[in-house]
Amino acid sequence: MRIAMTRSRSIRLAGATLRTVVLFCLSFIVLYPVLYLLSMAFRNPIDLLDPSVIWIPNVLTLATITKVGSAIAYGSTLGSSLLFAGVSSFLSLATCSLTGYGFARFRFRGSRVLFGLLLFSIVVPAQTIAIPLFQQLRFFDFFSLGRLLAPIMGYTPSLNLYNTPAAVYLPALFGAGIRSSLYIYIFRQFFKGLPQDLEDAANIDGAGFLKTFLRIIVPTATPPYLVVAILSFIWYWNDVLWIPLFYPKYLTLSVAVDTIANRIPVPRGQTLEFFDLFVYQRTACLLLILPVLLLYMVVQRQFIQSVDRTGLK
Amino acid sequence: MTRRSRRLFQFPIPYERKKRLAGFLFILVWLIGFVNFFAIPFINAFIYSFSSVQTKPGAMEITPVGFRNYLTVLLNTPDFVIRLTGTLQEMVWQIPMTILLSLFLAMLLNTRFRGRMFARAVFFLPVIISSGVVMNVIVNASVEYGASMMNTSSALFQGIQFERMLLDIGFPLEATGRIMMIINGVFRQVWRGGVQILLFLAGLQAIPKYLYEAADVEGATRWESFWKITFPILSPTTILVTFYTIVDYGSDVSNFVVITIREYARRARLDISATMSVIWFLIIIVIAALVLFLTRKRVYFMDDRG
Repeated sequence: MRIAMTRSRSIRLAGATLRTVVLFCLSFIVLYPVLYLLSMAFRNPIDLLDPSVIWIPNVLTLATITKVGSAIAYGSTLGSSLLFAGVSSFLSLATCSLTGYGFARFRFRGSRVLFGLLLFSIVVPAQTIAIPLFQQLRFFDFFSLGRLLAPIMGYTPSLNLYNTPAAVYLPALFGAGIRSSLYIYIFRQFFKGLPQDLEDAANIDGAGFLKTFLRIIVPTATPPYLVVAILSFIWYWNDVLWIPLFYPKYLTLSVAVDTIANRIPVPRGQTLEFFDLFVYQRTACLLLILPVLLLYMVVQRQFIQSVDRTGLK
Repeated sequence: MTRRSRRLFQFPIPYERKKRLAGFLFILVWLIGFVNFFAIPFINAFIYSFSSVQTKPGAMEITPVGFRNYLTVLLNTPDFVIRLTGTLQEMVWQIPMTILLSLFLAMLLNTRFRGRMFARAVFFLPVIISSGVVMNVIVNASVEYGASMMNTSSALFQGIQFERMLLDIGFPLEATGRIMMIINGVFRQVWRGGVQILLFLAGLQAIPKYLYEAADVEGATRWESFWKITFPILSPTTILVTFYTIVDYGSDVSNFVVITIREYARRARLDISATMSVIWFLIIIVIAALVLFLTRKRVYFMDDRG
């Protein structure tokens, strides 16, 4: 008996040690690029050619950061990104939760087919519909109403949404933003898992369906709201596909970082050295992830607990 | 919408019908968006791929040309076919690896230990960093410029120092290459697996504890209870994760096929770009359908909630 106990204990100890080692190594892999970006940001680009410099630069300098910061107009692009990601995720949250609730609680003709189509749309790569969607927004026909009016008016009335805020916010509002289908799925799964008694009680008390949703469901659904809010904020923050295509006038931080090679001012007659660009690119990346990193640190605990409670599956 | 629905409900409409109508109204906003911003563009993508598309100021000329675009893409655009096969080869081993590694990590993170919260926070970092731009800059930029231009500090990311160390202590060249391939693979997979780990963690949390207790009482080992309890109950999550991973690879901006599609779109070769993206979509959907078909009978649903 005693031998058995000590054996199981030593096995457990070995397991714990192994877990610690594995997690430590993998944490290093995850944290490594952040440290690496930090090391890049505080050095002079010329240090890259110095074999004695690996992690710690010869001189700690803010020159690289200020240069990159002004090249990507950090102040204004940061504001644009915050606005774009914030508004888009808010719109996505509103529509996706409503739709998710509709799919979770109601059965009507075609609801299963529509849900199937929703799942199908998760699998379609964004690039496949990018250009036709561009056309749809360039010649926006008021949700096909224009086409109905065409025989009466003799032409198809349309609006040019290209390069207007509507081109990016309208899809988000109508549940067709970045990965919206996935969010609807997440909401639906969460709402399905809620006990229905509360809603029945509210209905008996005479609350309408929308009122029940807003008063009873939304307050209890913090976990999926938080998870979806964080994920969509990050994905809108990092977007380099939709913004340059639909609203190029609007320069967000991610787009500026993506095109950093063309934004660094180079004196006439000179070319940008490889090592310069190399360090600048990495510094720009650090500037891009820093705000999201800070945001994540603030909500990290609630976020992780929410993931546990969302019961995604 | 609010006002309208309320007015409708005040009429003496039977409850069941009312409920159906309410459900439809709940998804109406999405449905409008789905038709206009997904379904129509999706159909148009197919139409473009069978047409010659000329952009003129203010309008677009679309003339049907049959399969010409497909022939151009598949026969006369060698870089596309090469990139396509290369990307597919990578996907074949990278997707299973991502899934396995994130399952493994999620199970580790699901056990009780000190600093669990911190560890979970760390493993979410990839979600922030790896979506797109940063990954593109860090990984692809180094490939583009070629390793010859790097010295030790810039090559940190490739683990060249470690490789050199292995060679120095007398590892055979070939074995070192293998080890480095695995290490770099793990690197990329951990980087790719942020969301997958989250999904698996949520799935693991949903497994009732009493099942493990019962198995323990019956004398089942950890290994057995993994295969008899965890694996079957987790199977819907695994399917979701698989789909997510496929789609994630399919729409990633650091993916060479996607880069090619964007290049042609930028050069205003819209028809060619559309054809490429349709081909890419078909491949993705075939892979997804294959996964669904192969796993169809093995997925276990603990309850009817699906």
